[in-house]
Amino acid sequence: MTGAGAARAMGATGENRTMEDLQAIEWFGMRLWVPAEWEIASHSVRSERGRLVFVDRRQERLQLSWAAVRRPPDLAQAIADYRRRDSERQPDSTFRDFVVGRWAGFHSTSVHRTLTRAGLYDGPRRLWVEMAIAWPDGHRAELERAILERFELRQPDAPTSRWQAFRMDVEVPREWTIQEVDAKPADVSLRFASGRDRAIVRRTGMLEAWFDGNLESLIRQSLGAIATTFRQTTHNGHPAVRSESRERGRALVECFGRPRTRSNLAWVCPTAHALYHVACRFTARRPVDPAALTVRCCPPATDRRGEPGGGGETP
Amino acid sequence: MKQAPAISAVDLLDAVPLRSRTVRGEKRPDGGWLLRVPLRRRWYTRPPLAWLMPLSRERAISLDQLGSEVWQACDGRRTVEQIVDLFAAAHDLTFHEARLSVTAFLRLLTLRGLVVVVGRPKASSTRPTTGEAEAAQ
Repeated sequence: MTGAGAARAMGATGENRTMEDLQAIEWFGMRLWVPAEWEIASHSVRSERGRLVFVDRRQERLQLSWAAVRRPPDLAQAIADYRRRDSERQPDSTFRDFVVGRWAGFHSTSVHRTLTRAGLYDGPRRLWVEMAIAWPDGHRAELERAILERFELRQPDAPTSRWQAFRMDVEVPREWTIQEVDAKPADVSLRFASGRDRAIVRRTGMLEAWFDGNLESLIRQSLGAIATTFRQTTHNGHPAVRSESRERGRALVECFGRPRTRSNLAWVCPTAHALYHVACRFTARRPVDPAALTVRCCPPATDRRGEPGGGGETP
Repeated sequence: MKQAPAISAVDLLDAVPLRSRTVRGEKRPDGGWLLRVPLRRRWYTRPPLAWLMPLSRERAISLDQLGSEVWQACDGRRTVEQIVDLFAAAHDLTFHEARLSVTAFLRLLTLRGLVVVVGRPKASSTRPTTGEAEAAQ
């Protein structure tokens, strides 16, 4: 059982947790730390404008929204507008402004609610980011400060982009853009695209309920009737199966040498109690190695094997 | 028939699922449960028609291991939230992953008359949400 799982079993609530129980979330180059029991209830996969909504067991707690802008917004005006709107909605609200790091915002306190609103503008990315945090059980200054201070933005020219959410941690080359995130209970998949190439990273839990331990059979099911070669390997220290298969294209496609190739990598992480499956589909001229998509399933392999690496494949 | 008031997802967490007393359960060797629910006796299930068409007086419902875990957790004392906690801990799921699975299964059990979910409606309260922030934009 994970630490969070153990805490859940003991009935720990969000309000008596220590700061060490924060989890990292990274989405579109925005990295933030939130309490471990806050889960993503709503997400966007548009880089220009979107939001992430976190909920605790009972209610919405945090909303992170972003929008690409052409010029730096007037921060003071934006905050004043929010204050005016909040005071219209809750006339008894009192406001207190604050600045934490790059964030500027205010606390809004009324009989019914306590709310933190903050905004920042990131020049290199031309991105306006807003955060709203609800405090149903009273304002927690320490947690608020930790969330705001630890917020980071990845540089736009970073060679990779990282997606850390829904208990997935995937780092892909920058040219791979996210297309879709499908989060179902115990079954999360992230779809990426780079030109005509596609990659899917999937994490499936509750293995005891459905998985018979045969990774080859699992990959074969996902491929259908395509001739496939399998080989045993390891990934992040776990036994893994890797497959290569070539789709039969139409005559013209075959003739011009652009048939699609599929490459799969699957392994079970006993620490995470989950099965990971990386499936890539690409043209033969530009092969994609599933291991090039770094999928971290558990703490780096150095902790277990005494050698460097983590998320890497060894033959 | 008077419709029971709808219960919100949040209030459902405080509700207590109770097993129907008429249901008989047998544990199967594979860890699952076989539940037998008596059927309402209609006019066509009584003699003399029943002599001609012997119909079963009960319906059997088979639960797999996961369903059995939830069924066994419905002991009349645990709330839905506690059952979700148990399920999440047993299968290494997050709270909301387990909540979706458990509540969907409880709904199925309720529709089949195996379980009744007893909840105390709470006075409506104003919950602060950041969604209000969005609405104000």
